[in-house]
Amino acid sequence: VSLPPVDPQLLSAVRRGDRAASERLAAGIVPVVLRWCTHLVGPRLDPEDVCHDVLVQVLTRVDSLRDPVAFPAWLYQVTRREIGRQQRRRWLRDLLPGFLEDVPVPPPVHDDLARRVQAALDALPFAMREVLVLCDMEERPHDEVAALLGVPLGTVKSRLHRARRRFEADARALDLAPDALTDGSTP
Amino acid sequence: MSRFRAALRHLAEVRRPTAAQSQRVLTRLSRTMARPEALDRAPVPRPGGEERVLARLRRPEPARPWGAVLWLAPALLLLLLRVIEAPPLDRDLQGSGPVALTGDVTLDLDGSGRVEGTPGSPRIRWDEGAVRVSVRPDRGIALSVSTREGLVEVIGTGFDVRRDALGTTVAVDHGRVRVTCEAAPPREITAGETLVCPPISAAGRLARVRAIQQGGASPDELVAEIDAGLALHGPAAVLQELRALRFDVLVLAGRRAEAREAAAAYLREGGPRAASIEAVSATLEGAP
Repeated sequence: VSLPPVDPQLLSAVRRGDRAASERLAAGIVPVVLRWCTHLVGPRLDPEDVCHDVLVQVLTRVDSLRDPVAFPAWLYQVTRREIGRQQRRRWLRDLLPGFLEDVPVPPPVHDDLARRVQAALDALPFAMREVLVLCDMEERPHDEVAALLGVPLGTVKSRLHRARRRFEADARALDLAPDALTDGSTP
Repeated sequence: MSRFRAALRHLAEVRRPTAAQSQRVLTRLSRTMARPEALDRAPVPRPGGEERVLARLRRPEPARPWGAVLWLAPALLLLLLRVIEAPPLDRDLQGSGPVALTGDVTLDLDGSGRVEGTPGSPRIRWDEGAVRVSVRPDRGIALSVSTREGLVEVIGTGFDVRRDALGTTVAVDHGRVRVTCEAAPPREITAGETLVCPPISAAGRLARVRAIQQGGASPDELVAEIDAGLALHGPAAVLQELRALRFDVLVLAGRRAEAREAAAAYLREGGPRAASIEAVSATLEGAP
């Protein structure tokens, strides 16, 4: 899933409060944002909820973006920040029941292999998880990932190397043996 | 590609967001945008956001532990306040009538028990009779009621607990509660539902059998309850009475063959009614 080019005129129309332009922009980015949310929010948050809030942030904060070239990185940072905010709220909800309104927990994944892979992924620190999602799941070029994350190319490579090693170790610990992959990934 | 990376690709395929999911988000967004006041509640854009993003593109972001500390401080303060403000609860509950346990918890008693814990998490041990519990919703009250037969924990707001010969009966008025009967997995029941935790001793089962017998229970229900009681440990006199009761129920139900077996079981173990049971059992000999 690649990020669509952002038309500067579309951004200008969104800034002016053009409802149709806002809907067009949201429709263009929702598949990408929803995919990021699905893989990054962890098991205790609903990706659709987070995605909705990201889109609200994008449409209300678009004024702060003057250079459309920076839009993909800006969008990723908004998504990342919103995920962090909602994870903190979830943590607070668990710590102080009743302090915040309750939200439903998303239903579990039915595919057994996918559920175990997701569990291994969720066990990683966020910085490792995001680099695996962007590089190995979405197969983005490393330089594009570096631009999205706002880190040098070398940092992406070293982080990816560490993340893969850690993921493999966690996956083995979760009994995600290569044999299981053969059963689950081939219909 | 390593197998583990293939596993990640598999996950990406399985959890690929569908068009329906995207549409749900867009529909909800459209509703949000139709309410300008909802957008007004979104955090105000921070000035210089774009410059910060561009700056991140040029250099890695340094760690900012102070952000986490500043955010954690109010949460820890709230937690501390809850602990400081909570004088312990430790008193007997007896008699009948309403009792305001705390500002958020009201009890309507008709029996006896004891409350311990804190106003934020009262723990009621209920011994006998009925107690109606009302908890103000969304105040984070972790209230529980325990009896010999089970544990009732508040998830919702209002419920009744009655402890009598039948065991512990939990009836939910509104909201939800989690009930854990002795030696059984937890179950959640919601408004309008009732759950009974049966007695856990042979003597308790004997009392329950007599109570449901008076309520007109069928022979099958009575025999099942008696068998459950006989499976428990208890005084010999109680077990003898349960065996005698089993014999009586089967005779009255006309199930003669089973009654003869029940009589044999009673006579094998012995008991004060041995003579009369043997005599009745003899009249059943030869009957189908």
